Amino acid sequence: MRNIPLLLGSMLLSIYMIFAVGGSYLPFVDSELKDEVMRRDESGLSIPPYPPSEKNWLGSDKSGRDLLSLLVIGTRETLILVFLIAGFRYLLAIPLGAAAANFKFFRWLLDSWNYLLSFIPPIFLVALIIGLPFIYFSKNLFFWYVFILAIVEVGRVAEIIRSQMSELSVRDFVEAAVTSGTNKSNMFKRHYWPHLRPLVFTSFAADLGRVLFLMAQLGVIQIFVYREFVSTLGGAYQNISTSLSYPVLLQSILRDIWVHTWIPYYTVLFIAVLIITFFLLSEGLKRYFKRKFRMMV
Amino acid sequence: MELVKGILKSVIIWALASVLIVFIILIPRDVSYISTDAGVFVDVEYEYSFEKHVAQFVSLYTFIIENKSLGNFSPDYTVGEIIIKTVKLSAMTVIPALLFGYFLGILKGIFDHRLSISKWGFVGKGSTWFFLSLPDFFIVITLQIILMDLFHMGLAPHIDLFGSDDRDNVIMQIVYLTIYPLFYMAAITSSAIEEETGKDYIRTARSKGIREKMIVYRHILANARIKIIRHFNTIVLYMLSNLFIIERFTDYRGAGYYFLNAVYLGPSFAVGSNRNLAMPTLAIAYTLIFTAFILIVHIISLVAVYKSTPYDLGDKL
Repeated sequence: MRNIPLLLGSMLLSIYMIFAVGGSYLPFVDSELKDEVMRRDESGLSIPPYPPSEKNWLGSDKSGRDLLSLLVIGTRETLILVFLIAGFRYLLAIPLGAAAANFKFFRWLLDSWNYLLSFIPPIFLVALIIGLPFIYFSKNLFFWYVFILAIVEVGRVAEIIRSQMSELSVRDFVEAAVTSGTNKSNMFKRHYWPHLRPLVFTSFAADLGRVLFLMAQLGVIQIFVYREFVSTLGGAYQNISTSLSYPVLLQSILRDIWVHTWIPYYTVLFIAVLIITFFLLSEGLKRYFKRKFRMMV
Repeated sequence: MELVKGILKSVIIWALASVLIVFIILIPRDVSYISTDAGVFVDVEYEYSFEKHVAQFVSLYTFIIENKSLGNFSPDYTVGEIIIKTVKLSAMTVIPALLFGYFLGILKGIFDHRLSISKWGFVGKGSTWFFLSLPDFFIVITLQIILMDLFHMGLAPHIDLFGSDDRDNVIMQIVYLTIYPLFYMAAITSSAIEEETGKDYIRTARSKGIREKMIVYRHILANARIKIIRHFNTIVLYMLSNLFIIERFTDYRGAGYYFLNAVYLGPSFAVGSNRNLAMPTLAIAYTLIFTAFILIVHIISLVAVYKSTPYDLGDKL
């Protein structure tokens, strides 16, 4: 039997990768993302956002930029962000999980951390922390955003690593390595890591999907990674995102869904397909490793 | 004894989590704006001071003691009234959705497993997997658009999709909230059943000629039950997390909607305005209610695990 999830997942990911790398060279993409403030046709003048048509396959956004081009060009930023957050999360989680498998103190720390967070819905925690003034107004919001999103679920990932390592630690080949006097770093590199790798890859792919999901939810409540304070007169300022990543297009979803349905709908479609891509990859990798190493992943 | 210990631990961690959130909520938020003479925003200065942080706690405490209330939400409502009203609205949707999601999810999991033996196996597990991968707000939007279109075509009755003062709203809200827990539980159940199928006691039962249906319900579920119950906590946490977003999407004025407004000031500000939470009492009260709800769920699942485990938990854990 062929590995359909892996095949489908890699195909979809390659499409997104093409968008990310060469999106602006594609023939149907307006690489400059030109604003079009007014349009005249047989029915008279119209102002953006324009509904889907011959000219804008998926319609346009509020300043008349072609939505398809916007989404295609925004792919790069979205992918970079998602990989950055998930990567950072694993960078923290793997040592933490390994430490928890070996030292009682870290095990206790990890358990309490996870138990504590099991009382706090993640999206609420993120909203609460990002609302704090020194983060809200910070010039390094980007780093805060990546850091906070990575940290909220670091415990869950570390626990996956820890339980796998604890399971491995009682296996014969590990005991053999211990008796033959392998040092700590070789122990991890040669004996644990090869068995950990499949698990790390599969759950990393799934985490990419989770991160994007959380980012989209945050987009709905207007929490973004890049933003500019734009004056709305009278000393008041509005927080407008300057990023091109997908979740940004969801910022006015609650108004758009009534009148400009296509903006949120196609954005959410792009996000949903990308999330499915990551989950397909995760499932596909799981099957791949299972067959290759006959491993329980 | 194990049970009492477990419950005690839950209560302690709950108290810690609540204190932590209250601590973050009460972090002093007064900022000094740097602006040009014309009032154009340049930057913000912020300095954390521990004394102020303590003062926030003290002033909140004295406020509650002196007024014997949580303050006013608007001229018409006190904070207490708003909380009762919104928590009722959300409880009306969360509790049924939780029960539907949990039990229907288990049924779907059993169904998926039974289907997986036939050639239509991929339909059951495939659908579970597919719905689990879709972000729930995508499903919400799609449903909303489909219902609106059907109404336009005259194929569906008018269903009120936005707001919270209609029976339709409550029903739709339950539907949206049920989706994720249902498929999550289905995936957990079918994988828990699968893990059991290869075991000796099942082979023994099969060799004695017991019907497949009987094996699943009587033999497998008795053992898989414990694994399934443990995930009750997880679905509650995910559901509450989704509640914030879904209530926003549907304009359902429940606890999630007001809670998020109470802790996050939103994307706009004015030079000179303070960044304090408008109603810290509201935010804190919601925090305690939400975490207490999770605590209750924790205790229920602890008791359920304890009751359904035939051996002493102390041996196993």
